[in-house]
Amino acid sequence: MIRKKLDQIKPHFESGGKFEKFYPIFEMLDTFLYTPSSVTEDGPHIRDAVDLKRAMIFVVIALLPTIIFGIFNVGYQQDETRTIMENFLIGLKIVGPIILVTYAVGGFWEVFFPVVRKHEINEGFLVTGILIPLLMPPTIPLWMVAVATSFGIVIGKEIFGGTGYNIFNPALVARAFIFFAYPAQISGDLVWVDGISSATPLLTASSVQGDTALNLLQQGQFTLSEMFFGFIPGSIGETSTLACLIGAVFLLVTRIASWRVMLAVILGMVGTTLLANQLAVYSSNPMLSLPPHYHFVMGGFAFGLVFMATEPVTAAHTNTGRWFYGFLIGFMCVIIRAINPAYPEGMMLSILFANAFAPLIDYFVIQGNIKKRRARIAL
Amino acid sequence: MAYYKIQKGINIPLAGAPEKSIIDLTGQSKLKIHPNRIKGIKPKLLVKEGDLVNTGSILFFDKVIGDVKFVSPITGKIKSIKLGERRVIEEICIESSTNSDEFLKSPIYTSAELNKLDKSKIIPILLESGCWSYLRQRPYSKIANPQDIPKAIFISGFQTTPHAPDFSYLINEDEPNLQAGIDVLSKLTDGVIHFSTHTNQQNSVFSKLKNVEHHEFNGPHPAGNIGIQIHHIDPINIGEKVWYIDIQDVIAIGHQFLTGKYLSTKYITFSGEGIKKPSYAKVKRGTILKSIIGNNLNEGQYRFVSGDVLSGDKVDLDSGLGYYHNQITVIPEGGKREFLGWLKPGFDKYTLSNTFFSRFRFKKEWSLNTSVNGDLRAIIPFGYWENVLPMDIIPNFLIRSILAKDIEEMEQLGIYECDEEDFALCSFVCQSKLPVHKIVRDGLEFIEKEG
Repeated sequence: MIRKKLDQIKPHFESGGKFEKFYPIFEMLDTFLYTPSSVTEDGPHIRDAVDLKRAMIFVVIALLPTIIFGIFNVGYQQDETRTIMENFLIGLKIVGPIILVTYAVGGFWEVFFPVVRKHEINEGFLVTGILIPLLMPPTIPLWMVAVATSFGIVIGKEIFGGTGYNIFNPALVARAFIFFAYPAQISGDLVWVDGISSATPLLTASSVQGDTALNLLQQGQFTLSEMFFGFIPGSIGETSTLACLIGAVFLLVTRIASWRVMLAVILGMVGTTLLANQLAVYSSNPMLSLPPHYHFVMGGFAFGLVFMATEPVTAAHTNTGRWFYGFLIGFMCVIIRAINPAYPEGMMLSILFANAFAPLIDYFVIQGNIKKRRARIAL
Repeated sequence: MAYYKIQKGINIPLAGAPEKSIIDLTGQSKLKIHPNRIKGIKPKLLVKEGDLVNTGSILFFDKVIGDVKFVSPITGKIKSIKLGERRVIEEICIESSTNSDEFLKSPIYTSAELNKLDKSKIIPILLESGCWSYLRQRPYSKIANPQDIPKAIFISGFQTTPHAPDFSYLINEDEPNLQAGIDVLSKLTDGVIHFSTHTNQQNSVFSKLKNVEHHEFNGPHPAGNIGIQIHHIDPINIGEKVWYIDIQDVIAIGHQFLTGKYLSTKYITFSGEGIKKPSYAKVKRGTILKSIIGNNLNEGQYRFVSGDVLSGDKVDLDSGLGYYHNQITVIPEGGKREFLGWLKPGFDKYTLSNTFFSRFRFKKEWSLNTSVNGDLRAIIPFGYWENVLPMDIIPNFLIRSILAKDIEEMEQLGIYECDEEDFALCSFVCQSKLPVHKIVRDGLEFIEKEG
């Protein structure tokens, strides 16, 4: 029945029709509801069942644990004594509008650009649209969400030509925009501006010079398990390492995310942290003494590792390059966290930094390949 | 003997695999040759409708290289010649009136004499007999130029495409022809003849071949593709040319020199879900699909492919078997629109991506149809291409350099080692439904034209 209706209105959207300009919108709706009718022309007469819609939906599925836990935790952080359901509903009241605003504003841009460019509408926004709210502190004003989303989508992606052509992860661009434009609201020191304000573990751990990070965390009453499960203040989606890890397992089993990047980020983080730990005795900086497993569960490390670093377009595009890219993220994250006192959370910046370096990393990998080919002639 | 382990790639378990039994279908009276489907040639006709031809009579030659001739696989009358737009020769239909073949003969040699023959004698015989057209070159996969001297000649003793014929099963009594063909070819190159087999093959004929360098490959498709083998054995550098030839055509060359007669038969498989009883067949070159498949066709809408499903040509039932093809594959036409298809668990949707339940591979054979299963999107490097391309090539950046028409970068990234058939699996797995194989073909054509 729906099929009939769609076929009936289709002529209006094809070239020459009344709504010719809006064909991308029709195409989006049409292929969302029904698999496309196209068949192969030549070459491989058969094709794999996977398409971009499927791949993107799987990232959203992988995000579900973080979304659900994030909503619950927003309520839980306000009042720990309520029931799980109550906390979830209170969280939903805060997070729901943020998600809706992101999808509405982002969706507008995602449709606007393809329509102007006569492109197909890309499924990438299904993921970006949910990543942006998860990176926001729950107290963020909705207008700021709208501005950040617009900035992330337009400047972070569309001006480069849309999904597949962007250099920086649009969700991180949105978050970085807020961070630099409205530092008071997101600075990471006091994420709960109204209601009960409390510092994030990362800030606690770096608060007093000369002390050790573990001591400070203890004083702040943050335990390793609490931080692992995520009952801590922080941005909506990034507090629970467990939820991120569930998503990671899902992404790795379905092979949507690159295991090379994930492993390399962890290796980079652990390696740099162990080195920093050795140097801790020579410095009064408490963050240097923080062991690797604490780095793993604190701040946005797990979330960035699983969902941001693995984003295929902005990561390195070669398998060798993915190792260097991941390692760079892990390395930079610890360096920023430990050495830069102004900003204890390094994951976002380190990923953006690595995004910028990804093309350069690929360039060296390609040069290596070219050199090998040249060496063959010389022999 | 060198050993190569190919890790990347996949043998797609397509439904309707051929049984190992051979049907003799060589008694067909009508054949078709399609000059427009032979890559890189400009055919000039030498016959007209109504002419009588013998087996081995020249039908047309290539205006590009000049001496390369194409002959009739049957004795009979030119029934019709179909011209398409701009007088492209679409098909030459030959019908035989008798069962006996009249041959146009070439000189006969014993195998001992073949070893003493030299190039200046061999080349004219190959050209006149039509056998030269079996020799093709890389890069560009077009017919070899008799003026060139190739770096090496490659023969693959196995094919890994879905439902490919198993040559170790087919080739046993033909040993003298195969060795003779190799002896003839060995005079055409200053280098060696590389002969590759697959670890799973048990064939004493292959292992006893002389005058060749043996190579053993192990691994899934595309290990059987000549391009992959060349890449691993002796990769093509800028400016170099290598030749390759199908093993059945080597036998035809041997046959030509030992008997003086054109060998018009070859073995093929015909298979796929559309066929009731898929099996092997012995056919004449150019046999019409209808007479091979006959009543063996299931009910339904099917795609007829001359060649394999990954790189064959889309044809209709009235077409002749493709000039270089060893297979006919018949698969269901797709295009059915499924409601919320991207949301389904997909127990029946074959994929290499782990995003459908079919990944548990609870079936031995999978039904695949011609649906694209998605729309064209921007390149998003999930790494699927790399997983099915067993070459030291960076597909992502090669494809980008082709799209940007940057010849220098294409060359640096190794486009001369590539052929569209080696990238067919990349097109198969691509989630953005990019025609990767076609981009590679366009890139090569662009370089050939501009360079």
